[in-house]
Amino acid sequence: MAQYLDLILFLLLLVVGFTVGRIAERRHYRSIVKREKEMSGVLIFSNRFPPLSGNRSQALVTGSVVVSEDYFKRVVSGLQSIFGGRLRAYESLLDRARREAVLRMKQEARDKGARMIVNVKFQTFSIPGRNRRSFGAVEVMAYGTALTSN
Amino acid sequence: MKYQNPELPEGINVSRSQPLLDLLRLLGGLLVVAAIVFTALGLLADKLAKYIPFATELKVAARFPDALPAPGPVTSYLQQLADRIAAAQELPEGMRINVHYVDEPTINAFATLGGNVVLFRGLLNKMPSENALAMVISHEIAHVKMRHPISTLGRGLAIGVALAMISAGAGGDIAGNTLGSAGLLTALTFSRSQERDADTDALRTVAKMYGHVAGADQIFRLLQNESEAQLGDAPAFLRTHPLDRERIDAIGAAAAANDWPTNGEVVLIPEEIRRLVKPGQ
Repeated sequence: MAQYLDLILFLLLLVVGFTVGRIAERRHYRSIVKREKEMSGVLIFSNRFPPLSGNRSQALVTGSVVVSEDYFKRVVSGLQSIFGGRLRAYESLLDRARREAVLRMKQEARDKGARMIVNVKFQTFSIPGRNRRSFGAVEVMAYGTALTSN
Repeated sequence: MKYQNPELPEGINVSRSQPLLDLLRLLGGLLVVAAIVFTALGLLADKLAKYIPFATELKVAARFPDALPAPGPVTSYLQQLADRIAAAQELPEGMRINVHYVDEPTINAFATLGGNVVLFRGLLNKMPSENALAMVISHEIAHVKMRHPISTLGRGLAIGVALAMISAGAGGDIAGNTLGSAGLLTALTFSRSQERDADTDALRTVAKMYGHVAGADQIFRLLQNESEAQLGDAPAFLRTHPLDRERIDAIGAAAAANDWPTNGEVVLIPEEIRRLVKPGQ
């Protein structure tokens, strides 16, 4: 029995990771699509210089997200990393993190009364660092310069 | 010039995937690779084990904590018998057999690392004659002679290491533990062909010692009856040594092929030993 306990725990975590992770991902995507429509009034650009001239006040705005893999994604990606190839399980995870970070940055800009963010950049940081045996989580941060017309 | 952010189509940065199918596909691929690797490792361990010096096997055996019972009168009788068998069985230079007697009702006997042969009281109590007992001991000595314990250990180790590497690649601690314990389980038994080889060698030895093989196949018949008598609770000797009609037939065929008489006078186990191995003593 004792040697099956690990196997049962493993399968349990796999099932929980799959169902909960999938529900959470669908819910998150619905929320992202809805809020992206609401925030479409705040424009973002990667240009370093503002496209519009004039007297504007500037402010640094940031949006940051920390997101973790679920157990199912971890196992599938672990197996995939043996053979190589696209880590599909992580693509949606990082897509959600990027978009959520941009949304939070836009929210901050809108709260400041800005309608435009320029010089937008992304930065990521792996939470477990180089410890490969630890859990997998990543921070995605979007930052840029919000311009408010005076 | 008008600046705007176009509305991007959904899903352009995420490939469509069916995670469960992905998982099955990956597991299937892994299974195929693992089957090939483990078969190769198993064959290698089998082929290479006989080149490991017996002295090295003794050192490996010494690493395992010694929980064997203290010797008594039964042990010295068994050891003397084993020494006679070992002489007839032409063991390689430097290989010595140590017999251990365990006072438990289990019907079992096994050979393990370092030339150690373990016999249980339950099995001894069932032995109708010294010839039958010699067949059992000789069978276990044959395992030692053909280096089956060390090759099983080698295969278990090789597979264990491979499993550890795969599970480290997969990253899961729990998955690793599960695979690791599965690896240990596979190391516990000898293969059917190893059992068959041991049978043949043991039969040759018994024929050489007594001039006939009477009593040798007796033991298998006896143990088979035993397992039929207590249905669902087969003696451990049978469980670890898969036995069927085929094995008895193989023994008969080997005896016929080598002109070993199947009839002859059997030697009885000394009365004082038989008294000692009776249940409840």
